[in-house]
Amino acid sequence: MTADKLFDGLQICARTKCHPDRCGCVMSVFLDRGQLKDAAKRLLEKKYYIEDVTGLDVAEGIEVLYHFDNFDNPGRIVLRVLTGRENPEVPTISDIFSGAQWHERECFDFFGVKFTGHPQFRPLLMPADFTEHPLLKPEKNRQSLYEMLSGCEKVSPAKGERYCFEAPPAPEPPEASAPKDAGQSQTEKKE
Amino acid sequence: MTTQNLAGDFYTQCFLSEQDESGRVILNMGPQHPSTHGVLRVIIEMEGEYISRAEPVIGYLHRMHEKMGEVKTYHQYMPNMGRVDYLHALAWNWAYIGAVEKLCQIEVPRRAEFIRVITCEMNRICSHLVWWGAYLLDLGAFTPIMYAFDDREQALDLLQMITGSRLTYCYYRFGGVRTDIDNQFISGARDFCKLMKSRLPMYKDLVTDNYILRKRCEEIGELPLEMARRYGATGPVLRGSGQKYDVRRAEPYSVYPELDFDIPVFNECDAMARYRVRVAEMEQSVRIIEQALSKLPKGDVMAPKAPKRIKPPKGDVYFAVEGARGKIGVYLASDGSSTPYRLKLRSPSYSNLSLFAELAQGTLLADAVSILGSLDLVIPEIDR
Repeated sequence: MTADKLFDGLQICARTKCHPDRCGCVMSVFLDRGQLKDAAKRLLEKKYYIEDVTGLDVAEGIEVLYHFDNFDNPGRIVLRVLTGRENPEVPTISDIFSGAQWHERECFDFFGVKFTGHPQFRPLLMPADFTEHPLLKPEKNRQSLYEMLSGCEKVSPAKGERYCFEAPPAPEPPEASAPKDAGQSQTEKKE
Repeated sequence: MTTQNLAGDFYTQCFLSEQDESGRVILNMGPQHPSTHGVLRVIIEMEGEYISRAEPVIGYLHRMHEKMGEVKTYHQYMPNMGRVDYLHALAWNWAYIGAVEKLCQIEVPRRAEFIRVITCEMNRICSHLVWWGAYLLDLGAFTPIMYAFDDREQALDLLQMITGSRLTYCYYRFGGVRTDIDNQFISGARDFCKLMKSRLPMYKDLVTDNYILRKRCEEIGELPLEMARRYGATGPVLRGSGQKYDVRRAEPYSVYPELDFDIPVFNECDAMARYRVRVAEMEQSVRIIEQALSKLPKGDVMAPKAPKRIKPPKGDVYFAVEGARGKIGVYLASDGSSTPYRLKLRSPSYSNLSLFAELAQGTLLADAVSILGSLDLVIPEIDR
């Protein structure tokens, strides 16, 4: 119940439909990266703890996932931030959740995502002179995130610099896959 | 030992560049130090006998299990799970199998669920016994590890009978377990429970109440609950800080809701509290095994309709189980093909070790060894 009101006032770009029995999460939202720190602060206030930070290489760009859970009222919350493939950058939350420090360094090792403001940003699991990012996929293997998470729906008109499913390299126009925001796309076209 | 006038490698250089006051001794503990239990290295800045700064350096055992997950099929990946954490391998088996079962909605027969509980708890006792022996060895007591390994050997023999391996198990299957347990195993497991019940009080008298041990553990490495939350510590490390949280109760899976057991919690937040949690957990695991043995239903150990080829629907899933070191999580994203699109392993030791740098600040070097031991680290699990 508390999870629903947790992000009131924050701009959520989209949310995926969650059935805890099927996906193990009670809430999964796409946020603009500018809102990430605010969301993390709220989670810390509500006594959530950080499970992990990880990435996912998809056709729309690189997605960074944050898993949080609560000791007293269990129910996993997933924050998702989509960043571009060229120079992927996300603000660090390690000043809020100290445990994110290592997870973010790991995420850089595997996906090359830069976490701005991180106090000790250097390789953790990979050798220092290793320049590859092993979990990035070749282009032909990338899948559309929108299709993988079939329960995705947009909840508000997005005003952020980049929001889900409409990152530049998306192979499909978002209008075709998301009938719900057809109206909004039209207004965008008029502008 | 490295001092400033020697060059040092990349991590030493980084560590030195963050130094705010020159002239302090930089110690390099590991990667082959006996008390780091594997190839963990900690760079320490000393101010006299006290640690002013510490930084764990990991990755020496990194095998990139997550990448292997993306190139192997669901079945081919199963043996990897036994090699992530060699002490509680069955919990990792379970986390992976459970995630796939959840995504594919595979029903598991009740008998198989009970067998999973029995074997997983037996493995948990083995893991805690190794930790118990090795921790005391770190602190200078040699004899306990001999007793611990003696007990553990009984359980390993039993597990070997049904799983075929002693350490790197690959026993659970999508929709059940590999082999059924027989009467020999059941009577052996009952004997093992009896043995543990006679041993644990002896360990308490000989070791837990020992004055020297308590001097080395009490009020050492105090971990406030707020800090545990910031770092995402789970398992006995968290429960030693007074938080009653166990995945078996918080996110119930399998038949754990039907079984009666307590979650041991201690409020002292120090190394001794974490010690007590683990010792108490062994008692609880014995309780769980006994109940599960008496409730064991008849029936199949594999779901008759379990698919031979695993091809989950598109989607993602997060499944967590309670390992001996804390919350083991598997995040699995599937694109509908026969290999996972992404497989993320959330290892509890990783989060538990990341708080060491803050915890060790200002403690004696000798106490840092005690703190490291009390976190119960398994390095292959951290590096994955």
